[in-house]
Order: sequence, then structure tokens, then C-alpha cells
Amino acid sequence: MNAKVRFALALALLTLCVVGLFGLAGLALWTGLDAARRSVFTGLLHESLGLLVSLALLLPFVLGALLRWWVKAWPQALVRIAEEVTLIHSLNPEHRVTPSGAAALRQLGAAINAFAEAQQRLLKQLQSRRAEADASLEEERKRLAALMSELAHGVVVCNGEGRVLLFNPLAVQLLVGAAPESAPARLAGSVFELLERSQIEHALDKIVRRIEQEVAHPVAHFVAPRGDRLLRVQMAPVLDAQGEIGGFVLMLEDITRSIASSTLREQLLRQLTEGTRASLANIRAAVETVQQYPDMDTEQRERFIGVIHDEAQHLSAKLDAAAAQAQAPGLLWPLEDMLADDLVHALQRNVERRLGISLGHRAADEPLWLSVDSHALVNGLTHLLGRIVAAFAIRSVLLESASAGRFLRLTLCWGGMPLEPELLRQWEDQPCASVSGGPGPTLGELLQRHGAEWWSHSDRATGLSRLCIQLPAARPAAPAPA
Amino acid sequence: MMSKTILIADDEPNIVISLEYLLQREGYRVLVARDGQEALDTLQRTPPDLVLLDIMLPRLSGYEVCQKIRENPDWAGIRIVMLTAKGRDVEMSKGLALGADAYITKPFSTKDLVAQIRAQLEE
Repeated sequence: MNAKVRFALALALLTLCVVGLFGLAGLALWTGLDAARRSVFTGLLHESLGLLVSLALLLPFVLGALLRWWVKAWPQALVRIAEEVTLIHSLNPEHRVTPSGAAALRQLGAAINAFAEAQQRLLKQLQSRRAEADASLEEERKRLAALMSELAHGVVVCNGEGRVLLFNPLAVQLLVGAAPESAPARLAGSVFELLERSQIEHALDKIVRRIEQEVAHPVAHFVAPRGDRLLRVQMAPVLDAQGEIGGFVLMLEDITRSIASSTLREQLLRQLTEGTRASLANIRAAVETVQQYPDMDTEQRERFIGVIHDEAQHLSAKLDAAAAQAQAPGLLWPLEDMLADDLVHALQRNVERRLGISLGHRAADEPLWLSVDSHALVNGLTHLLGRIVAAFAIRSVLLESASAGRFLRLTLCWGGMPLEPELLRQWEDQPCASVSGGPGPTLGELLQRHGAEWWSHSDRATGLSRLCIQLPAARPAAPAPA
Repeated sequence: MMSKTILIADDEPNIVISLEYLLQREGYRVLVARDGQEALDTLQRTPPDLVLLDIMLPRLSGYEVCQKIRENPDWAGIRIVMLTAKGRDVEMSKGLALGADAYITKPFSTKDLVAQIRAQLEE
């Protein structure tokens, strides 16, 4: 229904109301008159009939003019104000209400305009402050980025869910493998797409334990293989106001060359010491035997002199080879101190999750500290337990930990067939499966990294088979058992 | 009195020359094995009173030979002296844990070695 029709209907209704009211008033008056007065009244009506008809014809126009004025002054003015207020807050904050309509509505329009002015001033102030804050933040970001780009380590800052918030070009180079100039501008997405999730979760678990133990600097380290490179990763927590972990910072370092160099140096040192010991033993035994038995016949003496000459030449050759292979200082495989109980706890959880068996634990009486690459060791031991469980069809394994002189001895015990040394030697050379499914280090490499040894034996009396893994303690433990 | 028998299990001929001569002069009967399997074969044929056992042996390592000797109740009385260039504590600890009676690191004094052998055989 359009405005004109509505107006016509309203006017008709109003006219009917007025006519009706006059009719009712006339009827009431007529019924109250006696016959003589009715005769006088009828006469008056007859005399003024023309005037009355004219007034009746004029009535709709007068009412129409009044209705038009009222509609303009109130409903139309209110609708316009509502439209203009909508325009101010949704499209154009600088628009103002045009004063119109009744006096009260003009006052309302002025008040709305004053409110809009105040609102706009506040908005401009807020925008100005936000721009200042953005500029300051951008400046801080640039300063931090400049600072981070100068660091010798790759740095990645993540929130609690592992989303990458900030990084430097070296981190991109180390994680994506591109040269800095051709590296993508951003490390987008989650850090779990860049590094193995289990390593990060394991490091976070260690940090949580250290925070609970109120360690002064609760950081964790791990070594992450990245293609043909090895990255040493240090994780430090970012704590929120409540002291909860709200994120973490990863510092990345490429240790491939250092590790290769140190492995070579370690091999060289071992060859040199063991080779030298053997040659020196041969020379010393020969010399002492000759001295001890001066009655030795000439032929026998010649043999011993031949031994001394031969071994002296071996020694010279070994020293020459060692000097030729001497390398720049290397780096030992990064290990960090950890309580044996924490290592066992992590192993139990990993075994339960990956193998679906429970690993009982009989702990040492005193807390023992180890130097370990805990993630690699937990994975390696889980892999080993998986092998044992599969080979001997057992569902229950007990882990005993005890100090043995300068070592911690972890003993896996199960009821059933013993583990033959030949089989153990085969397993030593096979790579451990990592959580991601890729090949990890071999068990032999893990043992070597930790300076550890292992052996198996069985106890006929109890029917128990055992596999002992001996790890050097990080701090002096209890004296060796007698 | 019958002389005691000592088995030298070592693959280095130069040390075997000295040890063989030294122990014979000390009055012991000496057997020689050049690898781990040969040592076990010799043990089967002629169980000695004491084994001088190197660790880095071909075919079967000294650790494995030691373990097999200790697993056989018939050889319970055989004394085992490990004589090796492997001098790390963890290796020494492993040797003793597997049942060796003594662990001597090369180089060694022949007098000390003879004294150790005598002590082991008198126990």
C-alpha cells in the first residue's frame, strides 16, 4: 500500500469520525428538545442549510490539511531521522541529521548530531592511537628481525599450538634448505610440518617436568635430521602471565660438519688408543720376557727382537696415519642431563603408546642422572622392545634400573627364551624405525653416541632372560656392586 | 703335580709369541687359539684351567666366548682373564658382568700378569 492510498484512507477515517461525532451530538440535542423547540430548530436548519452544506464540503479539505501537517511534522520526520542515524553509523560518520519536523524532533536531531560529533572525535583518536601502535609494533618487528638476522642460529618463535609467529632467514635456510636470497619470504603454518612432532612434544614434556622441578633455565635440546643434515635444536618456553607455557622459541644450529668431524676424531682416537695399547703390550711383553730370561737361546731372542721391530714399525705407521687424519675440533653428539626416572617414565609412555604393552619398572633407590639424547634413546629402546616382544611372543617385560659404579644399568627382564648374542649383533646394525616411519640411527650408533654397552644373558635357575644396557652416569653414582 | 693348562685366545701373533714363551717358562701347559670359534673348539677338546681372552677376536668376540663358557656348567671351574686393548670403563664393566674373573688392559706388566694368573689358579 503506497503513501497516497494510506493518506486517503486515514483522511476518510478521520472525516467519518468527525461527521459521526457531529451526528451523535445533533441526535442527542434533538432527542432533548420538546416539539416547540424542535420546530424552531428545524426552521434554523432550513435557514442555514446552504452554509451547513458548504461547511460539510469544506471539512475534508480542512482535515486533509491538518493531517498532512501532522504527518510531515512527526512520522515522516522520525523515519528520516532513523534513516540518517543509520547512514551515520553504517556508511558515513561525517553525515549529520537535517533538523526538520516538530520542535521536539528538531531538538532530538541536534542531540543526535552532537553525539555523532563526539563519536567521530573518539573514533579519530582511536584510529590515530592504533596507527601509532601499529607503527611502533612494525618498528619493533623490524628491529627484532634485524637482530635475529644477525644471529648465528636459526630462530623460530611459535605459539602454544605450534603455529610459527616469527623466524629469521637462517631458520628458513636450515628448515627449508634454500639459500637465504632465494628462500621463501615466510615459514607459514605449523612447526610440526617442519620438524617431527614427537620430538617437539617430547621436548615440551621435558620442559614441563623441569618447570615442575623448579629448574632455573628449563630448556630442552634435541637433534633433528633434516635431509642429509643434522640440526641441533634448543627449545626454550615462552611463559604467559600465569606462568603457563604460551609458546616456545626454537634455536637451530647445523651441526652436520661438527658431528662428522667429531665422529671421525672419535674413531681415530679409538683406533689410536686401542692400536697403540696392543702394540705397546706386544713390545713390553717381548722386552720383559727377554730381560726375565737371559738364558734364552739365540733363535728365540731373534724372534722377540723381530716382534719389537715389527710392532715399533706398526706404531710409527699408526701415528703417521693419525697425524694425517687430524681434523679441526669437532663436537660431541649433543647430550643433556636427565634423571633416569624421567627417561624411564618417557620410555614407559612411548612403549605403551606404540607397542600397546605395559613396561613394569623396578627403580634404583637413589636418583641417578644420565647424559642422553633422550628422544633418540627412548625411540631406540622402544624399537628394541618391539623386536624382543615380536621375537619371543611375550606381553610382559620388566625394566630394572640400578647404579653400577659410574654407570646406570638398565636391565630388561622377561620370562622365556634368551636373546642370543648373534641376534643382538644383527639388531645392532639395523636402523631403528622412527615415529614418523623413516629410518633412525642404528642401535649400534645409539650405543656409541652414549658411550654405552649392552649384553644379554639368561638365568637358568629363574628362567628369566635379561638384556643389560649400561649407560655412563652424568654424576658419580653409588659404588660398584661387589 | 700336573701342570695347569692355559688357553691363549688372541689373533695377534706378536703377543702370542711372548705369552706362550712366558707361560711355558712359568711351568704352564699352553694352548693357543686364533679366533673365538677356535677357542670354543679347543675348550671342547681340552678344557683348560684358565683362558687368557682377547675381546676383538675374529668370528666370535671375546665377550661371546666368555658368555658361552659361563653358560656351560661343565666349564664352571675355568677362570677367565680378559686381556685386551679395549680400555674403556664400560667395556671393562661389561666383561666382568659377563663372568670374567679379571680384566687386564694392554699394555701390561708381564710380572703382574703372571702374578694375576697365579692368583686366579690358586683361588
